[in-house]
Amino acid sequence: MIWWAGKAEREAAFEEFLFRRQKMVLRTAWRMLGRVEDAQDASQEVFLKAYRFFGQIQPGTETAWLYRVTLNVCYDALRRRRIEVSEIPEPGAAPCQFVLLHEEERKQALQRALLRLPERERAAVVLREIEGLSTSEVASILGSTEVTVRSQISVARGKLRQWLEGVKP
Amino acid sequence: MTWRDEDLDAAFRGLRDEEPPAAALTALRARVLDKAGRGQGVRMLFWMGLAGAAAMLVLVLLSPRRPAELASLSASPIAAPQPPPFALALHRPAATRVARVAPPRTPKAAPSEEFVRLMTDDPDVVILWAVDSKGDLE
Repeated sequence: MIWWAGKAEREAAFEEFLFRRQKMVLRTAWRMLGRVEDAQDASQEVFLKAYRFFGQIQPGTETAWLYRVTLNVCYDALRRRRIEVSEIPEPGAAPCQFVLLHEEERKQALQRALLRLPERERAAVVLREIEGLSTSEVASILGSTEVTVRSQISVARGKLRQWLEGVKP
Repeated sequence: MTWRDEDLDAAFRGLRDEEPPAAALTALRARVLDKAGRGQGVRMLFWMGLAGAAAMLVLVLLSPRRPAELASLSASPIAAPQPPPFALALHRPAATRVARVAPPRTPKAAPSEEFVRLMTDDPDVVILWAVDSKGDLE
């Protein structure tokens, strides 16, 4: 009976954990993979891992753990499928001037440009610029240094700007 | 340059503020809870089966032998070792055992005499039959 009571409590705690963090995981996966459907599959995999290791994750590190696992799952998903580069406008084909785009178009243009970035640079940009984490937090999650993260983001922003302006980097 | 840093930051803010579709969140939650529950059930069944098999094994190993098994063991007597053939033939019951005699000295047999030495069940008794050349027993 004690085991069953413990199991019910565990299930309830995990459900609350899932509810509080699902948006963060799905959003990160969405920006990494570009499609909501792919992000759902990746997020499901992330939370099933979290369920398996629930109780073993050190308290206070759940957020970092989730981000790390989300990125790893996204890397695997990207390796399994090739991103359709044809969906992304070729540089020079349709230069987009920021002032001429509506907000929705700007977001879509940026999302498409994000998918051109190498995985590690994309991860650094997503965590820092979209998820709003600090440079040190990003470095901790990616297992690198703050200097490396700043360099990656600087390079990535330069590429994004050039792609969005229609000029080859 | 048409995309300034501020423009890029504004676009990033737009992505940050854009919430994932509510339907996608609901579906994700349902799928995770469904799979997690099913996986837990399968694992539980597996461990229960393993525990049951282990309990059965322990019961079999620790269970006492049945009386029938014990009876069958005692019913099969251990066969007595077979004595040598001629000792059997010369077996004398204890009551008719020959009195102890001095160890016989093997007599100097005449060239024509032969002796047959017979062992009995009493190690102190040895029977010597003298046989002459004619074949008569003395």
